Amino acid sequence: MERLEAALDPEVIARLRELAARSRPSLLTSLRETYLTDGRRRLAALSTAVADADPATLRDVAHALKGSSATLGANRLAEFCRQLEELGRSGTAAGGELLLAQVSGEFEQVAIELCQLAGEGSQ
Amino acid sequence: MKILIADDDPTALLLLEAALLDLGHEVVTARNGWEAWRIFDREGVPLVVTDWMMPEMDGPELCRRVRAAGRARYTYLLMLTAMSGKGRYLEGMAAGADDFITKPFDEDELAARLHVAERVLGLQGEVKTLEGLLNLCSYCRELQDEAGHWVTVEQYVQRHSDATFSHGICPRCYPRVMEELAGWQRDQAATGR
Repeated sequence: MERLEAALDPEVIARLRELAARSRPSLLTSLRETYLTDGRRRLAALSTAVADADPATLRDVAHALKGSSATLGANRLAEFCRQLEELGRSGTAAGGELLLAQVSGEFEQVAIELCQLAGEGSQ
Repeated sequence: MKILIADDDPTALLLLEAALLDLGHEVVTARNGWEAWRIFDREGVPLVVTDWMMPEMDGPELCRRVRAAGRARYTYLLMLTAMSGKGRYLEGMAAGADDFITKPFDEDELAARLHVAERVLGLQGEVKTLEGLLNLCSYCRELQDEAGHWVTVEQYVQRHSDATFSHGICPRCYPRVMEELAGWQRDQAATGR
């Protein structure tokens, strides 16, 4: 499937690059590692919440992943997370599998772009 | 300026820390409201930037605790929130927040809001300095001005601010003044007789 837009917002990435250049070059690597470690933990929790039909956990974890994704400009992922959060808020986790698959797929795309970004920063 | 930041999102915490360090501030981090409260209670920082939703203790509760602590030096409270709306704004203000910034934050906006915070904290510091320097007579309550002259509180305040006075009687003085007035009227009546 062809992707028309990058998973990471170029404007946000440009600002992060500038900040890293001004403060510390390792910032992008630190952000990538922190985000991916935290994100994978939250993805596992989302998967459990959908399997256990636990809407409250689904809502809270999706909200958290939405926030950290938006921080790095992963806007499409943040939007998928928002939809999962809304599903949880409606009091059900039913039908969450499809959204969860979208979140997981987009998360991997974000991971690839973050790795490229941090690779550039460490050169 | 020393700034305490509280956020349970490690990515946001890391980025906020980097942005604040880049702006030249000293930063202390906390991963939830309770940890932030313990640091504040121990170190007493002038500025706290806190997320709204956090485990252990949320942002509004942290604000309420900081205000209830009633420290001599004012603490400026800036709330980070992904949520918007009047209800949230009012709830944050009622908890004691001074200002809000939307997540994900914009660095320029953050810098601008921190300038406001520094201005407010600076003014508060000037007031404290002024309070500490004023020489007040313990008996007649007159103040010594910069030239060393003793002046009334009214004269001093009118010279140093745009304030003007209206004159009334406070509830504590009212019975005494009424008593004096009645005595004066009695004296007048006696003299007239």
